[in-house]
Amino acid sequence: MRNRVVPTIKLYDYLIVPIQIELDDATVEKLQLQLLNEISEKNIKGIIIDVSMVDVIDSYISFVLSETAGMAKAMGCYTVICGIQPAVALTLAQMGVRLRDIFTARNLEDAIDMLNNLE
Amino acid sequence: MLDVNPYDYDIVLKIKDENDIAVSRQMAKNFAQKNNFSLADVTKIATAVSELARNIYRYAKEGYIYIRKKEIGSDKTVAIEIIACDKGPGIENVELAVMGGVYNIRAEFGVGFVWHKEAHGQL
Repeated sequence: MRNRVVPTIKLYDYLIVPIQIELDDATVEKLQLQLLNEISEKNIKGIIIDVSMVDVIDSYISFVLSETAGMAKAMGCYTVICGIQPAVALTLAQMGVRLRDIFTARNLEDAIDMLNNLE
Repeated sequence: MLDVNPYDYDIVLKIKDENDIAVSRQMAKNFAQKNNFSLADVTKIATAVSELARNIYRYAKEGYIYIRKKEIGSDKTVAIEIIACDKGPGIENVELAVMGGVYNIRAEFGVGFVWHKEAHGQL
């Protein structure tokens, strides 16, 4: 597929998205489009975004991520974000950023359990 | 524009395209790490610079971010001073923007500002 910014792994009906690149505004917007396309093309029922490698998540990135979750929800797909680093969690909470439409889990296993329970 | 002498600062960043947001974030992060700030502070500083750089890019198209190390008070607490400078349209009602009045327009824009005031004491 063209315009893929992050390599993804399909596991059963789920799509695992490990983010291992620096997220700038253009990249995160491309990622949004990529994920929406993959939901429809691969018949995905749940997305797991692993951000354990991401050092900085600012308000716009978190906004686009939860916006993506909202879009995915409209397509009948749940989104779980997992592995948020302690310092990132602290910063986001103090900034008053709330992750809407998006479920959070500690790690990949928890995220998969969570999606299994949601169905 | 604010009268700033670039020679007084450790880092001068020109924000002109979207890529510069990520670059400034990375530079601020490295600078804070180099000055032995805690992981939580490093993340906060990098996030703050990222928000500032985005505001410059979005609303003023271009501008500068100045960063320097500073020692404040008699006990010489190490601090980092960050100045964001641009010739943007300006904020009509700063008080309202800082209080979170911008929230309603598009949630994410207000948030950065509110936090800058809390974290750095001034805009």
